[in-house]
Amino acid sequence: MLLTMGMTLAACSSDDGPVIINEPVSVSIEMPLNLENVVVSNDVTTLVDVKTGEAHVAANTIKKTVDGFVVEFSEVTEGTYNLTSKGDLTFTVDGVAGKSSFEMTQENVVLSRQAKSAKLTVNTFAAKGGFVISEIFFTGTTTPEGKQYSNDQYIIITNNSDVTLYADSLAFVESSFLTVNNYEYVPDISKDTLAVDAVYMIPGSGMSVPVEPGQSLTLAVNAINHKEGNANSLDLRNADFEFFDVSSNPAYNDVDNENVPNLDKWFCYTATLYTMHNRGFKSYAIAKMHGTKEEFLEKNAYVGKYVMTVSGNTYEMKVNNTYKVPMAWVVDGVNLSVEEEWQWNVLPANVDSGWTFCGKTLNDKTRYSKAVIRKQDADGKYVDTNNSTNDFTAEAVPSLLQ
Amino acid sequence: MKQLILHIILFLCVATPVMADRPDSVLTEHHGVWNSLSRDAWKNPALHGVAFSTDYSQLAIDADYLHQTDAFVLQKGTGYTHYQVEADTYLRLSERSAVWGKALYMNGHNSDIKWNSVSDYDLIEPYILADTLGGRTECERYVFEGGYATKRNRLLLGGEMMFRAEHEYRTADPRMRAIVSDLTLRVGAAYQTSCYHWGAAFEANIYKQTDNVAFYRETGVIPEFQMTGLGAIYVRFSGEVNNLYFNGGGTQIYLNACPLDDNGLFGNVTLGQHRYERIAASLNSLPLTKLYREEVHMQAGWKRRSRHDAAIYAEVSYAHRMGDENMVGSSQSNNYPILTTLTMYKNDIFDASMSALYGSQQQTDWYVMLKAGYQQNHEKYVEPERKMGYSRIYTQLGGQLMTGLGRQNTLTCRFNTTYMKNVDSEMGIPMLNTEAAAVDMLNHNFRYLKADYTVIDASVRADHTLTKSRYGIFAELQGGMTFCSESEQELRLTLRIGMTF
Amino acid sequence: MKIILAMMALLVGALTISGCHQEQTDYYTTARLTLVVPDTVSVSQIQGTMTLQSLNTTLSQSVSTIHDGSFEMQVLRGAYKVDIVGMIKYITPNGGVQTRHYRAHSDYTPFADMPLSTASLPVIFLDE
Repeated sequence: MLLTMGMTLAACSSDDGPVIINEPVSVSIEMPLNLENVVVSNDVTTLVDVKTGEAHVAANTIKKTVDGFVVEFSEVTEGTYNLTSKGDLTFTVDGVAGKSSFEMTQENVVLSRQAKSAKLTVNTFAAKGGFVISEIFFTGTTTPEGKQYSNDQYIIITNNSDVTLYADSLAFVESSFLTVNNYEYVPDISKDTLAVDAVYMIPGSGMSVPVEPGQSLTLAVNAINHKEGNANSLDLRNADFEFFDVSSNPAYNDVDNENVPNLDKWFCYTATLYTMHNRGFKSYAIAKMHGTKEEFLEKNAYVGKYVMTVSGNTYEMKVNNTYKVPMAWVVDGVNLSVEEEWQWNVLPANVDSGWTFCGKTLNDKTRYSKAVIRKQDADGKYVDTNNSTNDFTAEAVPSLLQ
Repeated sequence: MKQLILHIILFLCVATPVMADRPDSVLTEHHGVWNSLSRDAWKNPALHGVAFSTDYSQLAIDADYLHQTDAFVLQKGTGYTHYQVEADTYLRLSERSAVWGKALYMNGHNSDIKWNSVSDYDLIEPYILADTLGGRTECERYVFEGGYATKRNRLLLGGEMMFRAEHEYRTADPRMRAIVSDLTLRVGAAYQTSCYHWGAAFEANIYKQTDNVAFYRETGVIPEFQMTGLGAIYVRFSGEVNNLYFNGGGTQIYLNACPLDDNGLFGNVTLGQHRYERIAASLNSLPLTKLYREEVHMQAGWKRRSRHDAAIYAEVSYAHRMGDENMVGSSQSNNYPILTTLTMYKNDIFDASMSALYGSQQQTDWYVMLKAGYQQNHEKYVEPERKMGYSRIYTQLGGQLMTGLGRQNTLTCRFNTTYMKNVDSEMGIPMLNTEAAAVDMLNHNFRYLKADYTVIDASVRADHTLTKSRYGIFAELQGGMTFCSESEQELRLTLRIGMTF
Repeated sequence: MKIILAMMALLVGALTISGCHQEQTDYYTTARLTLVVPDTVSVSQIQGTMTLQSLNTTLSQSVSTIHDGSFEMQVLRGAYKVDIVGMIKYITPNGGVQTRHYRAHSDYTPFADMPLSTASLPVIFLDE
């Protein structure tokens, strides 16, 4: 028996040569579930034969099909390959545009006439975290004479994800309702709509304002060097955007730093100059605006009323100067209040289930020159558990105040 | 001057047969190349008992030297220097009985062994322990053999025992140490008919080798790889598992048909199966791999002894080697469960040849031998797939001349030349999934596997029988060279002196 | 003579039967690994990549195709380290859609049964 095997072996001709897979080998690339409107560019997909080291390279050939992204290779011989795909992506996540690069590798992929497809799932980045409010300096400062000075307020928005996001159409919004007055509003829209009295939006065409992972945008109420007028203040000339209002009162005109772009003002309750509530009784959020300003103003006015009780008497009040922002547009929000006066959280629990503060009492004189600053992890990421009680350091020294 | 030397050589070549006396008949019986036709049959101890009609004993001291300009096989190194004392004897106790024996002690060193931290590489490869550094090894060998055969009417019976112990070690890091014990027992029988001896023999072998590698320099520890075939490494147990032992053995049967008077058809068949298991001693004796070798060897031909001797015969041998790897589970209390066993390594070795021998034992003994053959060796590892193989054809031309120089002296000259031509070769290794150093090792060995070789060997032996004595002394010089088509060479030298009685 | 030939045949037969080694050629099995998602999570879609690394050879193989929360791959029978990373899209109790990154890991998982070898791993969600 052994001898027969031996003779058969000797008689056999040498092994067959490489077998080419007749049909194209297709590699499908699955994008992360939370990304929408994905566009792939600068892609390079490589199949490297583990035996010979020979490489099949497909550059800029990833196609978007009904079933997803696909790249094809022709004239591939049967064998075992290391598969690598890399490139750039643009996408929207939670409505916000972003971009990132990806590089995925799968080792020892067996390709044959029976198995001529492979699949890669992109998970080199999470694109989670998005934009967060990382600091609100709402108390302003005091002058050397002891007067309050609110023009140096600012808010910092940070890209807390691991991908480049675009801040175009991201708006700073102020809640119309106060955390210290829990009126019964009719209709009650608080579950899925935020009632706002100021909307200032970062302008752009969609991808005009890129923010790298970990980088921030400073929105200053006035992007000037406030130290010139108030030695206790700070220099905001390097802010990324500023609030600019055309005042109805010529005695109070806004200063426009031409080197700092203005936010696109959609609405503000005041006809003069906007400043944040410097005792911190309001909630602030950033929201991704949809549609045009005109459409928003036309369709999103909040028509409602509330009952106010004063000295035992109830009064039905109309809600004025208020617009509705769908909660689905809200990217991040922070409830502000003071311990002595807090009555309710204006933002719903899934946006902020807590609140933070600078000052403890109704007119706390110690509140000035303090900010609320979001805490950071050991890896530099901002903590975001949607609970500003835990996520923020209250009464902190403003980061831009030196 | 050149012409003078040429004339002298020619004169010697022509005149020696003319001047020569008959060579010593004992020497021609025991050392004649005609015996090569019966070597397979004499593995049956019953037939070995009727191999010779005269007594012969020899005590010799050898010095062997081999050097390759570049190692043809990295695991075997670039050569060796061995010193050996050997005594062997064949004694006819009577017309019916014979006894034979051998004792040998060898001491020496092997040069530049790489990727091999075990002994008996040819036997247990590819399941060896290996590292990238290697170096010179010291070696010692003890061999004891003994056999007895007798004849009762038409029935011949015989038994034989062979024991080999080897010790190989290195005195610099990585300090490998291998100890081998190899015991073989053979029993055989043969039945004599009018024209033939029909023989059958059974052999049992027990083999054990223990290996360990130590490092005396703490900073100089390198990993020891558990090799599993064609550069594949059992990574999980490589690195610090440096204590191994091999348990093995096997059985073999011999079947023989030998014409009584060396005239007629003859045939020998050998069937054998052996297995060698590699066990990690430090892992609660976990068996890692097992190598199986099944082989068959057949020799058939025709021979005639008369005024001129002639023989023509064919030989075919086939060995099928398989290696089983144990897929080991997670250890609990140092107990490793074996999830499954898979045959991952396969090796087929095939050799077929035709030989012709022609000569005469008249005034001088002379023989000329011609051989042509085909050899094929294919190795395969299953997953990830690796393979290596070659096939070659070879031709060999050889001869022997034994002549007497006076009444007391015998001169034996041998020469042999072989040419091996590669016909086909292939190597397919997943280079991206193989250690870079292992890829270099495979490429190196493959370069020489598929090369062509020209081998030349020659030897001269002079025997002198002391006056009126049964004792004699001898001296032998052997030399050879191998020329490789890769522009590398091998040199072999052996000097042997001793006495005969 | 006949007795001799018979004895020879018997010896050959005995050696052949006892000596020949049966090759173990059941090399591959289908490894099926199922992700175990908590009951409280109402899964809408799962994606991910499973990487199996052989504990014997350290070679890795990956698959990104998932059916009913399970990955399947043909592998050489043996022991493997399993790593899975991916994303789950699920319906929140208030009807919203949320995505979360998850991973699953095992230092040792045997895939030796034939023709199908199964195992399961719990998912570990990576962020809130």
